[in-house]
Order: sequence, then C-alpha cells, then structure tokens
Amino acid sequence: MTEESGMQMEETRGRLEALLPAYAIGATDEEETRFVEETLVRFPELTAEVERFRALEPALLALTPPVAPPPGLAGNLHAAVMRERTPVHASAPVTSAPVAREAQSWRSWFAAPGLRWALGLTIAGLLLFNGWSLVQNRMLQQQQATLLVQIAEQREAIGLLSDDAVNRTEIFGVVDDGEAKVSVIWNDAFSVAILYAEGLPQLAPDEVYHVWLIDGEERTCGGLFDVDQLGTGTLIIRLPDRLDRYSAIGITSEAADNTTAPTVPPIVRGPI
Amino acid sequence: MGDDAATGTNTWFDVQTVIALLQELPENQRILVELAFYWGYTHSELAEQLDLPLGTVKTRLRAGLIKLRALWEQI
Repeated sequence: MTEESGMQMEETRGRLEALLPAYAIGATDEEETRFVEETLVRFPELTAEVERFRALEPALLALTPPVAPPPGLAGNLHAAVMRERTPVHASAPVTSAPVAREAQSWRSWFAAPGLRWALGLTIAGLLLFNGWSLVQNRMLQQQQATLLVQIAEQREAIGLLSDDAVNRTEIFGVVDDGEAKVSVIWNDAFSVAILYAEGLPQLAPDEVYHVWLIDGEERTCGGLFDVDQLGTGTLIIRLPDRLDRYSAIGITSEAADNTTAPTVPPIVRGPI
Repeated sequence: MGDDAATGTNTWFDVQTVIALLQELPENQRILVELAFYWGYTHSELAEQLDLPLGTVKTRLRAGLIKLRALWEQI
C-alpha cells in the first residue's frame, strides 16, 4: 500500500465514520447509503459502531413522535401541486392564434367541426384535470387534518407520559407462553391512553392488531396497530370514556377494515 | 437498561429514559434527531425543509446521535 493510498483510505474511513450515526437510523441520502454499504465491508470493525447506534432504536421506536413536521411541509406540498398545474394551464389551447383571413368571423371559425372537437376535448381535459386537482387538494387537506389530530394526540400522550400519577395495567397472552405482554398507561385526566405491546406474533400481510375495550357484551374498537420484527408495537388509544368504565382489554389480529366487533378469539386479554 | 435496549427488549422504563435523554440534547440537535427518526427525513430533506446548509444538518445530526448514544450507554 502506498502512502497516498493509505491517506485515501484514512479519508474514506473518516467519511464513513461521519455517516454511520445517520446511516444507523436511516437518515442518509441514497448516495450516502450506497457509499456506507459499499465501504463498510472494507472496515468490518465499524459494523459494531452501527450496532451501537441501532441499540437506541427499540426504545426510540416505542416513543410517540414529539415534534410536528416542519412548518414548510404543507407549503411545499401546495407549491408542488401548483407547479404541476401551471404548465397544463399555460398550454391550454383555448385561445388559439388569430385567423389570418379577415372575412372569417369568430363564429364561422369556431364552427369548423375539427376545431369544435379539439375545443371540446380540451375543455373536457381541463375539467378532468381540475377534478383531479380538486381530489388531490382534498386528499392533502384530509391528510393535513389527520396529521393535526395525530399531533394533538401525541402531545397529549407526551403530557400523559410526563405525569407522575399514571395508572398502569398489564395484560398477558391468552396462550401462556410467557411472551406476549401489553402495558396500558392511563390517567383519568387525559383522554388518551398509551398501549405498549411486547412479544406479539408477526401478522399476516393483510392483518393488523385490533384493541378492543370490553364492557359486558359491548366491544369498542380502541384502535389498530402493527408490530415490528421484535413483536413490539405502540398505540395511542383515544378513549371514548374513562378507561376504568371498561372491565377488560382484548387484542385480536384481523383485517384492518373490521372495527365493529372482534371476529376471532383474543391473543391478549386481561382485566383493567 | 441500555443492554436491554441493545437486545431489543426495552422496557417501559427505557422509553421514559429516552424521553429524558432527548431533552438533554441541544434544541437544534434534538429536533434533527426527532425529525430524522420519526418522520424519516434524510440529510438533504432536512436541509431543504429547515432551510439549513447540508453540512450543518450533517454535523448537528451526527453530534446529536453521538451524544444521545453516549448518554444512553452511561446509564
């Protein structure tokens, strides 16, 4: 190895080390990720560094996001939609070039069958595009509203987490294999509860976990959640009533669109 | 506790600890860590969204993660 290649290697290692923390949490750009993955094999001792950063991940994943997306996000999305719209409007051939022949009136000009078809198609196209834009805008508004609700819930959840006087209920798997365990943190002063599940089995692709609040024969859906590869998942439950009004909590795995009543036996169930 | 997290068996107490540790980061580092982790932003996306130089984003995010890891491993 020459002196120069040694320096280059040192430089490469330095760049790699600088990127490892962000790489470990998935914050590197595509080119950086490729660089890390291609270079890491040359410095296997640094793999342990990545693992040390990844050790934080389970606990971080179990937290609710404490910050909202940047305030410019909504504006940028809107600007992106507007940028998409501009060229179409600019090229709309509704106002065609003037006709050279003086004797030809606008009426006769528009009476040309081919032009009428073109005009009709253009208008239809514009109407379709406007409809599409309205749908897109509506979807963005709905996403924004959903995001705002989630942020409000998350803030309330953080308030709950910070509160000293919280109640904690632990429930366990119906099959006593000692693995599935669910903790529910709640306090009467808050309208949300936080569910934290460990050791739940992996789900089929079309299934999610359903949380059911049980009161006699009544089952109220408390929300849906998924689990990571370790069987860990969290959910902020928006409580329709005080949690201690319910006698028990159950968790089933079933299709996401079923929120009326459980259709399969619970995997986890226990009294509140 | 840190060992528990390393093996993927973090406890409720771990979660509360991470909340406390995040609060120990300087604001400009904590926000980047949270945005990168919870919202999946990359370096360049963070720079664009926050209107910060790319180098600044990389430096702060790296410093924040290193400090967070150090705090976590001290426990």
